[in-house]
Amino acid sequence: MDNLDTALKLMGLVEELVPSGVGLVNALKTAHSQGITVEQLLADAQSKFDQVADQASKEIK
Amino acid sequence: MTKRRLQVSAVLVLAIALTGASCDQKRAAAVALNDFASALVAFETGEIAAHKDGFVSDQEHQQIQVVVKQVAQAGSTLTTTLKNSQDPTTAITSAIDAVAKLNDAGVLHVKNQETKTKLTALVLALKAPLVTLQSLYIKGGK
Repeated sequence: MDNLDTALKLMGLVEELVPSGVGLVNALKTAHSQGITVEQLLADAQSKFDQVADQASKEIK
Repeated sequence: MTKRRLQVSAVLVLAIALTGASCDQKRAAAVALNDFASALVAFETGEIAAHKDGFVSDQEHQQIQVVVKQVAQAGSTLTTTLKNSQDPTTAITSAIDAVAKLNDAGVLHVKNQETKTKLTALVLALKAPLVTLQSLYIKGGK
């Protein structure tokens, strides 16, 4: 097996593992969110939107 | 290589089956909305830092923050519609339009190339959860 062949095989492996890694991260995020209620998630999101809007108002002169 | 692909797929299917099987539409939407809000905080924080460091002009900063506020308001409206279990399709479209405006009216006009690239990446991070919401309610249907 020459270097090019090895490199191509490694590239193929990376191509497989990267999307798998992304899928796994998404699955873990979903798992983490299972312990939080929908209401808490929405309240947290609302709090962040309010924080951003307040800060933007301060930045706009 | 095919065997390897099967193994990877099996791990993924198992992970999703274990963690995402009970994930209903509203929960998935709430997670995506929370991701969107976090990405907006990250964008605003990054833009303010770039402005303070002199990589974004005062005028560019003002224009961007005006649109950031509009995106936050669109996010609030979307949150309210989900809280009240109303049809969120219009609110999702408004949020997508506001984020597009963030690029068109603000980030793409930043003269510092490196800062523009970083802010563009942060805008992409904003778009991803909106695409999820779109697929949940608009493309995939209720």
